[in-house]
Amino acid sequence: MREKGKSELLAYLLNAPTIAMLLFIGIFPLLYCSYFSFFDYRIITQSATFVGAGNYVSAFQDPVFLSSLKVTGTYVLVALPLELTLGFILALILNQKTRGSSIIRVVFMIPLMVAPLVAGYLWRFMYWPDLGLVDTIINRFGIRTPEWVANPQTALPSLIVVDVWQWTPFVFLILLAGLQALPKEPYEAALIDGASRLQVFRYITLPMMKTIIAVAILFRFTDLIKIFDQPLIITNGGPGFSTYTASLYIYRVGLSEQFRVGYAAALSWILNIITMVAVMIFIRRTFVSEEKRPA
Amino acid sequence: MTETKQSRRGFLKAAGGAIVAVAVAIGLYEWYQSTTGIVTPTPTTAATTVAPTTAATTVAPTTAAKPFQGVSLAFFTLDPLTSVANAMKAKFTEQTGINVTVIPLGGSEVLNEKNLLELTGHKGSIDVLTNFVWMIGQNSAFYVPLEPLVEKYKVDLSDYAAWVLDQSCRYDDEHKFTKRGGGGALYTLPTGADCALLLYRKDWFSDPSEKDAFKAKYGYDLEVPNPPDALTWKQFCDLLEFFTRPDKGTYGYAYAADPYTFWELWHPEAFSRGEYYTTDEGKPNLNSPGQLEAFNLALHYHRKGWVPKGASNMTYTEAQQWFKNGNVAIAQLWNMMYTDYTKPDFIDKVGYAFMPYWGKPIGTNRPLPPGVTSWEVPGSQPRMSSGGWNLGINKDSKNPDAAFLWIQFATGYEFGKYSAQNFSYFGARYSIYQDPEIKKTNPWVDAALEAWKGDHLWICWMRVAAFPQAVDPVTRYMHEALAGTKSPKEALDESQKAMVDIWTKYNYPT
Repeated sequence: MREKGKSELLAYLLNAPTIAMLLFIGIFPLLYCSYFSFFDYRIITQSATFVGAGNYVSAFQDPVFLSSLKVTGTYVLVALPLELTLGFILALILNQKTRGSSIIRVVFMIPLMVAPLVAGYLWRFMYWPDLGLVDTIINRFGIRTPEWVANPQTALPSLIVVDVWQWTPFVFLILLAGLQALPKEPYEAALIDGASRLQVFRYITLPMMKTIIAVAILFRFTDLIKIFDQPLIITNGGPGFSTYTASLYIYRVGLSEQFRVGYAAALSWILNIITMVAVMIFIRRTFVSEEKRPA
Repeated sequence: MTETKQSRRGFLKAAGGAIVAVAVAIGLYEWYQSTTGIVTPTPTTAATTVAPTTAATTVAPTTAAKPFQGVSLAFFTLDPLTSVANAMKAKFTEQTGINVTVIPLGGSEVLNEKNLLELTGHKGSIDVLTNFVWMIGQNSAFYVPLEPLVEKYKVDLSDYAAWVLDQSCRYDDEHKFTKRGGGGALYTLPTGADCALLLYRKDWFSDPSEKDAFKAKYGYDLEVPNPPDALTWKQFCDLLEFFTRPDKGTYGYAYAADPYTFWELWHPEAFSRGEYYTTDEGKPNLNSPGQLEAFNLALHYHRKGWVPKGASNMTYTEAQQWFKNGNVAIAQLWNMMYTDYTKPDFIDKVGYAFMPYWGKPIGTNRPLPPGVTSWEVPGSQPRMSSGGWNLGINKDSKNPDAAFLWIQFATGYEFGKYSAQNFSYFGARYSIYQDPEIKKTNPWVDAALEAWKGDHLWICWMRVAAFPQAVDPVTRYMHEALAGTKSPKEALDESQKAMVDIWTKYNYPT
C-alpha cells in the first residue's frame, strides 16, 4: 500500500510541472482575458473601470465589429469549400502512382512552406496594378484588369485567392494521407461487382474519408476565422472596411494604436464563442450523430 | 503489466500544489527584482561637461574619469535611426564608457505598441525610447522631464529648431489640441524633423516641348514657384491633368492613399484653408463645410484618373517607387524618404516645393471639382503635414543620467550629420540644415527651412492621448468615400461621429 502511495506521488510530481505549465500558458491567459473583458481597461491611463457586460453590449452595437464579422464569415464560407474541393481533387489525382507524382506532390507543398506574411507581400506585388505578374499576364490577352485589391468588389475575392493558393496544399496533404490509409478490400469488392468510378467514389471513398475530411474542415475553419496576415499586408483591411476581418479589427482595438484592452478582450471572446459553437455543432453533426446511428 | 490509477482528487491536489509553488517562486523572484537594481553612479559635472557651442552638443570626450563607465542602456528605435545608432554607438562608448544596445522595431504601429507595453509595464528594461510627434501626449506621463537634466548638463538648446522642439518635445495639458504643439514641460529631444513637401520631376518641367504644350493648353508657364511661394490648387489640377498619360504609363500624382495613411495625405487641402482635426477649443471638426470642400478636391484626383491605377491601396514605399520610376510627375512624400533623390544620377531631376493653397486661379478656365465652391479661399496659405521623431527617457530607467547623455549624443550634430549624409534623415538642428556640405547633396533643405519659418506646418496627427484611437475608424470611413461606397459627406459625417464618440469617452469638448 505504501509502495503504491509512493509511486502515485512520484507520478504526480513528474506530471505537475507539465500540467502547471499548460495551465499557465493555456488556461490562465484565457481566464485573464475573460476577466479583462468586463473592464474598461485603458492601458495609456492604466485605469480599469468595471463595466459588467458593457463591452459585450457595445460589441453588438459596434458597426465596425459587425461588418468585420460579416467579412470574416464571407471569407470562411467561400475559401473553405474552395480549398476542400480543390484539395480533394488534387489528392484523388495524385493518389495514383504515376510517373513524377512524388515531384508534383512536393511542388504542391511549396505555398504551404511560405510564411503567411511573406505570402502576403508576394501577392501584394503580384497584384500591383499594371506592373504586377497578374496584370502582366492578363493584359497580354488584351483584357483590361480591375484594381484587384483597391476595389471594394474585387479586394475580398483577391484575398481569398491567396488563401486558397496557400492552404489548398494543406487540405490536399491531409486528404492524401487519408486516401492512402484506406483499406483496399472494399475497392476490390466494388471492382468485382462492376461499380463505376463515380459509384466507387460516392459509396466507398467519400464515406470512408468522412472523418479525415471533417478534420481538414475543422483545421481550416479555425484557421480561417482568425484570418489576419493577408488582409493586413495586402489590403490593410481596405478599401474602406471591405476586407477588415475580425482579427484585424481586434488587433487594432487592443494593440496597434487604440489599446482598448478590455474591449478587445470582449471582442476576442465573442469570436472565440462563435468559433466554439460552430465547431461543437459541426462535431455533433458529423461524429456524434454517426455514433448514435444504428449499425 | 499493471497500471496504477491516480485518484482525481489526489491529482488535483498535486497539480494545485505545483501551481502554488510556481506562483510563490514567481512572487519571490519579483520581490527580489524589486529590491535590487543597478546602482546609478552620481555624475560629476566635470566629467560630463558638454561643449556649449551651437554645433557641438555631442557629449564632449572626457579625459577625466567616466562616471557611467560600464553602464548599459537599451534603446528602442527604428530605421534609419537603428542603422545610424549602430554605426555611431562605439564612438559614444569611447566618450562615456556607456554601452548602448540598439533594439530595432518595425514601423509606427509596432513602435507604438512596444513603447506602450514597455512604459506601462514599469520594468525599466528600456531606457531610451523613440517617439513620433503624436505620441508625446500619451507617453509624456511615462517620461522623465528633461529640464533638470538640460540644466544639470548645461545643454544649449538654441541649435535645435525651435519649431521642432515645440511640436515634438514640449507638452502640457493646455497644449494637447494645438496644431503647432508647445507646452511648459520638455519631455524629449528631437532626433528628426519631417515635413511632407511636394516633389516634382524638374526634368519634365524644364523640357521645352512640355513647356510649350502646357502654355498652349493652360495659358501660363509650366513652372513650380520656389518656397514660400506655392502653386494654387487650380494650377495643381492643371499639372496633374497635363502629365496624366495612361497610354505612356505616366500619371499626375502619387501619394500614400491606403486605408492607413489616406487621411494624413489630404491634409494640405484642408490645412491650407485653416481646417484641422478639431477647432481651437478641441471640438471635433471633421465634417465642417471647409473640410468637405477639401475632401472633395482630394477625391477629385482619383475620380479624374490623375493618380496611378490602384492608388487607393498605395503605401508610401509604393508612391515613392512610382515617382522614382518616372511614372508620376508629382508626389507628396516625407523628407526622410528623399535619400534616393539625393544620389548623383537623380539629384537634378527632382524639385521641392510647398504644397498648394486656395488662391486666385490663373490661366484658362477650369470647372470646379464637384462639391468645391471656389478655388480661392480668403486667408489661405500653403500648409503641410509635419512629423518627426524624438527621444525620451523612461521614468523607470535605472540610469536616467546616462540615458540623457545618449539622447544628447543621438540628437547631436555629429550623429545628425552622419545620418544626413547617409540617410537624408537629419536631426533637427539648424547647424545641420545649414551645413553647406549637406545642402549641396540635399537640395530639399531650403524648402524645409522655409517651412519652419512661418505657419506652414501643422502637426500630422494630434498629440492628445486619445487621438490614435480615432485614426483607424476615421480613416476607414474616409477611405470608403475614396472606394466609392460612401458619399464624401456621409464619410465625413461618420468620421465626425466616430471622433465625437471617442472624445466623449475622454471628456474632451464635443
